[in-house]
Amino acid sequence: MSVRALSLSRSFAYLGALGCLLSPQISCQRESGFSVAASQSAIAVAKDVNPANLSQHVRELVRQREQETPQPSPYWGNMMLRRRNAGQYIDSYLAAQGLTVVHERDSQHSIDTDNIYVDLAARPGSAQKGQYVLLSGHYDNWHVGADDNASAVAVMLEAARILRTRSFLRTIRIIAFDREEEGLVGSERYARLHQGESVSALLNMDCVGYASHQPNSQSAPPGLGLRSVGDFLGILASDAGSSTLGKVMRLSTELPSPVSVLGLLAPGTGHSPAASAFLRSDHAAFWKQGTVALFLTDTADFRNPHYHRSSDVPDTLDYDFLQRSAQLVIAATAALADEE
Amino acid sequence: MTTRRLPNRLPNGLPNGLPNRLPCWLIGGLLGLSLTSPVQAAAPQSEALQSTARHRQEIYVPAGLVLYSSPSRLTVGVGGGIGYRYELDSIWTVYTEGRTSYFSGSIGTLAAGITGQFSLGAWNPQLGIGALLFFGDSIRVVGASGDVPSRAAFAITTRISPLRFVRGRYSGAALSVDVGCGIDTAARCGLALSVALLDVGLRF
Repeated sequence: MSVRALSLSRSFAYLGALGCLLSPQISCQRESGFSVAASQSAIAVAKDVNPANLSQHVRELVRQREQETPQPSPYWGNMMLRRRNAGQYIDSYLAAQGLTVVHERDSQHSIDTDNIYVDLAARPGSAQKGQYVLLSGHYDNWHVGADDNASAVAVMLEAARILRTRSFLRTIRIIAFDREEEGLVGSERYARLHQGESVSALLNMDCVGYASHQPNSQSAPPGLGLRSVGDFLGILASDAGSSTLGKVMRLSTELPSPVSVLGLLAPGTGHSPAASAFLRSDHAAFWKQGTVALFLTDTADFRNPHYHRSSDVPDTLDYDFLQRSAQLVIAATAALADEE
Repeated sequence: MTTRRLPNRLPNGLPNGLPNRLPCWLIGGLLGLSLTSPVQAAAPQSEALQSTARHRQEIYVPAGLVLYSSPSRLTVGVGGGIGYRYELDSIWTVYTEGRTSYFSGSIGTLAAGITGQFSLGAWNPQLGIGALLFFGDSIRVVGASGDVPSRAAFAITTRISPLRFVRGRYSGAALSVDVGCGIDTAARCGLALSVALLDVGLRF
């Protein structure tokens, strides 16, 4: 080996050592949490979550669906959907809370959608009252759909009950999207129609009530090494939401009954082939627009064997997990709405 | 009561965590010694050989896939790039290459290292060590602490190029593999893999 070779080999070895030295420094960026005031407000609302309400909503939504004759999807003939009764249940519960319920109906291309939402007005005089924090989930279903997606609708209704009595810096809008199962139709229409609005963040839920504490109860897309026990709430974000994801993850540890969480950050707007499994719910249209949007899920068919089956019934849910998930979602909504 | 924030750097300008990373320097030092010590004594002889050897250079184009999989990220892509080799003598060659790939988003990789080779006719297999830097898009896992893994990940790799052939001004290789240990989590080694399904080069 020549002197030059020796010198170069030393250089490479030192380069390796330098990389080793720097790697821990470049490997993570520490995100700060919510402000103290926002965190305290969030923790206070989390304590108000009533597990009996969540269970009652899930069972009532399922009962309503059982009474409804499923309709074939105009998109997919073999998909039998139930929408109407759940929509009526949401409407009547929110109206009973004293909230003004808006039905945003659309029938483009002969496909009707009915997105239902309520606004929880911002504090009078707030400089950020023109900004929205959105909390969403879909209410259309295959079969009776206890986990998919009565669990999320139950959390939304409980959020409305708790948050309506408080006021925040931003307006909170709780939205029940229609026709998610047929290709995210309702949320895409909503995102297009409300494109000009200032949205601080969206928290979208799809399947948030199923957990298993058995080994190997959790699977994942190929190459992605998630935990093997399906007892966590997955929180997904695109690049635009990385900071918000970090804040919500930190908030989860501060709650009185924290739910185990796992955050996943999709590259860019999440539209790369490797992240295609991350776009399977109503947040997708918002990611595409570059909006800060978090997707909260129990990972659906990567965990739940009853996914899109008639066996997705209330007794298969883990109500302790649902309560903890609800506490985090509602607390995060409050913190995002009250963040300076 | 107030909490004073610790400075990021010690008064002498060294990063806070330096003492904790001494093993890194030791590994680097050992790597350097392992490459240099056995042949240090033979250096004058090598220099004599070098004076008659021609330092050939090569531009090559690799195409294939890259993968980085660890508890904190998944980076995977298919693509290609360009590389440069410099023959130090009849055995040792240094290389550097850059690639762009796409699948988990847009990914860049930079590699550099040194390989040893022998020749049996046109057959010119290589074996070496190097460093591989991944940057760009990947699926990243965020723990409960809320710390978001950065866009870059680094690995120490072994280059294995068993099917490399050289004839005159041209070279070609199939299934060249850089495989190694990715350093982006404290506890575990990530799998770093870069496979050149095919690379073709022009020597001058």
